[in-house]
Amino acid sequence: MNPSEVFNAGIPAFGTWVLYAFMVAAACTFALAVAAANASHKVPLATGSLGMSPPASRLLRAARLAALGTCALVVLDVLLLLYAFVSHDFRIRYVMRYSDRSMPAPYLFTALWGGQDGSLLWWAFLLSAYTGACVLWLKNRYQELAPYVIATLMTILFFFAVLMAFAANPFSANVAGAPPDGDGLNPSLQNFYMAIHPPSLYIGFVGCAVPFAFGLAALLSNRLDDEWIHAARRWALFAWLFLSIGNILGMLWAYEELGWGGYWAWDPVENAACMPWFTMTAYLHSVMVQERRRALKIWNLVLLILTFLLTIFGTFLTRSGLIASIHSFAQSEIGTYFLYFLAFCTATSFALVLRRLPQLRSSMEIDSVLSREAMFVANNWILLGICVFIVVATTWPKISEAFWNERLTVGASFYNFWLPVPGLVMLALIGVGTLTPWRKASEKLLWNSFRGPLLAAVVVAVAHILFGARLGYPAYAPVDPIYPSAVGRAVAWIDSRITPISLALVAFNVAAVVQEFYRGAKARMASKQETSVAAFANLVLKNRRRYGGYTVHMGLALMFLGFTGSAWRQEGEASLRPGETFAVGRYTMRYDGMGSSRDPNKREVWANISVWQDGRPFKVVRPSKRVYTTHPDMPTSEVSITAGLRDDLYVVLASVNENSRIAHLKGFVNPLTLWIWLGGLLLVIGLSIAIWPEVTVELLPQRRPDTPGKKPEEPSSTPNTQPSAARSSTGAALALLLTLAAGTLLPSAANAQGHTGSSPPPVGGESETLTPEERRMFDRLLCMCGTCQRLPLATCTCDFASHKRASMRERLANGTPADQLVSAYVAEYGAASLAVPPDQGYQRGVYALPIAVAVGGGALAGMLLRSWKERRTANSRPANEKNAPTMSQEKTSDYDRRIDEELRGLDD
Amino acid sequence: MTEESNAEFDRLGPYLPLIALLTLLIGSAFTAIRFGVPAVVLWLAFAALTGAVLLFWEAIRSAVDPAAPGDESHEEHLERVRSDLEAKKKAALRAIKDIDFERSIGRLSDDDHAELRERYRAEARAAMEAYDQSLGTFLDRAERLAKEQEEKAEQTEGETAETPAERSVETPSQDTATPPAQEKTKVQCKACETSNDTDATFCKRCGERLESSNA
Repeated sequence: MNPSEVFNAGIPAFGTWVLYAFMVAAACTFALAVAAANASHKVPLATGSLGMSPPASRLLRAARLAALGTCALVVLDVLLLLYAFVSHDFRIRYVMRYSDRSMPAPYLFTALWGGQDGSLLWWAFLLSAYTGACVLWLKNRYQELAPYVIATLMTILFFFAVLMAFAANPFSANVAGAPPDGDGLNPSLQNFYMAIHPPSLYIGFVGCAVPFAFGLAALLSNRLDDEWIHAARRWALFAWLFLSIGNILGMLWAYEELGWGGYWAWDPVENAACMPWFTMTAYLHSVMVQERRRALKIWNLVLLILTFLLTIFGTFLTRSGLIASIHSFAQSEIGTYFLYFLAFCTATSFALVLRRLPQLRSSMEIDSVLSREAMFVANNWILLGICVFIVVATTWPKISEAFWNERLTVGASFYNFWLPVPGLVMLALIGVGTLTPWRKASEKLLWNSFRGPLLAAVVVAVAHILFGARLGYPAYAPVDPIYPSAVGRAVAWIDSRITPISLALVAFNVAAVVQEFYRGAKARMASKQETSVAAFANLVLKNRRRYGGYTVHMGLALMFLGFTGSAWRQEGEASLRPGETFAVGRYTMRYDGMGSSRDPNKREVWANISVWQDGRPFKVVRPSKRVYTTHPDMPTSEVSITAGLRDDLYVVLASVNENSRIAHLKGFVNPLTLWIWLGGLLLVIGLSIAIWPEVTVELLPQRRPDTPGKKPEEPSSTPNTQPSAARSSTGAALALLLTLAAGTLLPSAANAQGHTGSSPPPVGGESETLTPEERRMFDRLLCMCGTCQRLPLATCTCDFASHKRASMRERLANGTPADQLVSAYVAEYGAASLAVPPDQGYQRGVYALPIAVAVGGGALAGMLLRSWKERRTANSRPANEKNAPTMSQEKTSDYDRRIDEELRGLDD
Repeated sequence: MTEESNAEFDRLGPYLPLIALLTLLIGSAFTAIRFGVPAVVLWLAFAALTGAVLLFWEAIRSAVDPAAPGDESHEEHLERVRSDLEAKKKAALRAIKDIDFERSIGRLSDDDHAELRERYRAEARAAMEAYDQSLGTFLDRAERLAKEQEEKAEQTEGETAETPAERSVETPSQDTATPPAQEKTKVQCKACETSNDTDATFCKRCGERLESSNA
């Protein structure tokens, strides 16, 4: 007899039972970890008896084993749910809602995280995977931190267990019994990027819990030196890597799948996904100040705590259905659980920080504000400022509703209007920070490192202003004020003039990084007599953290190039009969006809379009629409993207009438968009370079390796040549892999084949190109059709939006003022249909609040820098020696001799 | 579970992951061939359940049973402390190399370089000194242990009731440390054949006067 049949019967109940077991197990493990921590406290750690007492040691072992057991239970639960999907067990409500019998197997797997209950289980699964990896990795390391790390992680797991057991059980049964078939997965989720983007984002999100656990462990065990930072670093970098990848993949998904021509809509969930990225980035930088200068200890802990809280807050935003979003799941009660957990975590962590506050004080001194540590403080300020801005704007609709009982929306144009300037400040600081030396910069030193990049910046800016227009990139891209007020006009004035600055800063950054590589390689060539290639390779391999970081900076600069390109975006739409054409930018498109196909899962209709580029035949593209059998009311657009280094041609089939064969098409020309993905790829490569030696630590400076080192008696005269060669080849293999992966990730024209006739046909058909006035009007409003929430009316491709646009354009042409049309629209659909909160009364708070916080933070940072500087002038002698342990002169010289010996033997 | 079988289990320790992995793979392959691919998910679930039960069993044993293996012995701990110190020293040396490099590309002033260099040297010195001290501790402890074992071995010699398995659980190093040659220096009781210390006057078991005592 097939064992499946035996087990099938009990699966839903068994799954729930395992959930409860998991909850109890997490609680027990927590208790064991706390017991281990207490027991180890009682043992004095004198040199004579360094070890933990046997009971503490055994308890820690028990806690580790129990933690692994808890993880095994979560894995068991995920496997049970997966089995329910594979065996189409529609008795389970979650399986019924998110799958059907026609779904291909890979999507059955993605359905695991496609809905709310499952995604919570998925979250718990990833956290337990992290916990398992962390516990195994901890085996004999950081024994004083380990019990607290386990206890913290178990607390988080316990929360998710409670959440699932009492509020969102993925195994809960269908009230009406098992239907013959399920509802199927939302078609927009049946996409390659959807299969990989949420998991990688989750990996990043959940990963933030591990460095947080180390931070709390440091606070709880009162071991506040650099130890926990070394322990947490690789976990923090790993989480950051996946946060970045997840966000970039999310952008790609939006670009490929949503069909509105852009990649980032400032949707609440997108915002939630990028918030921890900012705080984690800030942490990764400020932690270097702690390592070098023993300062910012409190701040680093606070940043990690904030990062973790933001991940929980982000999940809360997504899961609670609090704020309307394209990603939001159904409204449910779990929001309350998240809120309590958030409050609990905030209270506990900050209480701990306060308790240890006296020990966290630093005695930092600086010589100059123009130093790298000061730049890191500035970088933290701008990153946190942007983060606060996004948090306030994302939660503003709820704040407004709670305090003033007014429902409204903060749309993409609000962010796009306000954020370019802080973004560019950040970009500028990236470059300046790269070039500024630690501690103190003499004028000569500064000029020496800044002149090259500055020259590059000026050259690019001037060249752009002089020749940009000829290449289709006018010097300035006008931006319309989103408010009619003075504030609106002022910011719009700045935004309109920002493109040359932005390009200049990109050039500055790229030149800065190139210069760093060049100078480093040159120094090596001079001192080590290496060839240029060897010097370059060794430079990167021996200083992976530094040059990996620089590569990440370069990637970010390239991404900014892509963001800048959106200023010159062009678009047009038209309803065409076969044979008619329309033009967008330098592309002319002729609609040649339509075709259709059908398979059991879906029906597809496409348009054949011949494209001319600059008057020359370019290619044939085939955007299509898909209607899935399970969701006939939610057709998806398969856009056609032809990517290029200069611009992307992005064609959407908005709708097609199969009887009249009239197709409604939208075309976008997105300049420089490809650079975002290239920059993202570079970022991942750079980070992989930086993270790689975390595994084979020996080569890295300033790090406490965790592999047992060699004995000091044997000076390593010819060390590391073999391993580093091996490592460089693994690095090369990794880079190759990443490139291959990128090849599959980069948007490509899936449906583009063949060539068109020789000369472009005359432009005809009913082209719908928006006039600037119409554009401004539609940008202020949101599409209120109910399914494509929050997209601006100007860019939404749904039928509702095109009908609305048509009727409003008609009325505008007949002489009705735009303001009147807008107020009529708002009167009909409510204040939430406005893309941006009006610039009046308390609604000004949405931008005034973050600006106030940023200014206050800036003032605080300035005061901090000043106090450091004053302290420096007060004690003019550096006070670092006082930390050095006192030692007899004779002994010191003996050790110094050994140090010199080893330094000579150290390969570099 | 008896103590003996526990000891057996512990001896398997290093190979357990390999055994588990092999079982998992072979089981998966068998399930896939015999019952189809979906059943593999069930098989893996079964394996996870077994794993969870075993892990919790071990965890409970570790928490309540003093005979259960601790995380690390004193020697292992010292070893770890030493390798930590070694790593600390290496890190400081690397940091010195790093600031040397920074100075060479004009990123660090000479004053600053000298100051940071002194700090990292002090760190390296401290680590080296602590290392040397721990080495001392290690030697002391080794000597003390050897002495203890010698004494213990003499005491326990007569207690034949103790099984080797038991001893191997508690103090695994004792077996090898006890020189078997010592047996010859013992005195056997004529009446009950119990072996007694050479300086004993009466047998510790039956109370019979020992012949060779203090002859």
